[in-house]
Amino acid sequence: MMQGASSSAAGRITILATSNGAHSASTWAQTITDGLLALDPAMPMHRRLAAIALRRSLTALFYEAFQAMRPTSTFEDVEAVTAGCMGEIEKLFASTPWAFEASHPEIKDQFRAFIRRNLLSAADLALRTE
Amino acid sequence: MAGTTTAFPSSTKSELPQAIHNFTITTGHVFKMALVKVTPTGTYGAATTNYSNLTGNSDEVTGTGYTAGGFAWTAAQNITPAVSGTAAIWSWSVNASWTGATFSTTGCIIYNSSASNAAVYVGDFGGTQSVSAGTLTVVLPANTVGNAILQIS
Repeated sequence: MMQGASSSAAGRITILATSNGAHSASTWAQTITDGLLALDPAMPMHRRLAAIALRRSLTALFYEAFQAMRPTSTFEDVEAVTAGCMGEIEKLFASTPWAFEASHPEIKDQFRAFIRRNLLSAADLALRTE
Repeated sequence: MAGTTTAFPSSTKSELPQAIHNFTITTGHVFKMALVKVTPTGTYGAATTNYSNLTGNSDEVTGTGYTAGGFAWTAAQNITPAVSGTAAIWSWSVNASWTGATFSTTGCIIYNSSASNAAVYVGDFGGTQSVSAGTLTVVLPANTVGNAILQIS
């Protein structure tokens, strides 16, 4: 085997299937929360409780964000909503066990990209279904 | 046994150092996601090499709102591979989705339509996913180490 030999992996995807229209804001909100902060069964109790509370706040935040997506939403609208979410996320994470990780620029960029991608999906879908 | 298992195809591992795939934003290749029908006759996973594996078995989804070949990302929607720690991670900037859709599916194959349809990802949906006059979205995971849809670590 070569020195520095690599392993490769394929990440897990999530499927949203909604009949008779587009996905609801609550469906998107729960999906995005799951994607950002999964509940690990092996978490110590104090972290688990903090995660549950944080997930509740994140879901409420994303619900509002996805409700703001309209058939007329533009890329600029999505950028503005994403920026608003990032400001709130910083506050929500500040008093949690994940404050340090969440403040790292690379992690923030990854959060931003993930949120933007799904808001774009929601806006795009709204455009094509109404 | 017929079915789909989530995997980074073995063939892709050998194709990367041959520069067969280019995931660079804007200037890279065009990738597509094709869906696997319910109860496929073929087996899809690490040994899958090409979109033709799917079509050769007549295992691609058919139905309203789905066009053969599947969802196409433009090169502008590629996320150029980046290093995070000791890993390389990459993805796409939009999710694959189908609207006005009436069909059922159990998995997907992502392939490079700019490079003879070579497969780069196989995904299992964990069961049958059905929509009727609705929307099916494949939500890509966060592009982070341990989560990214494609990574080398």
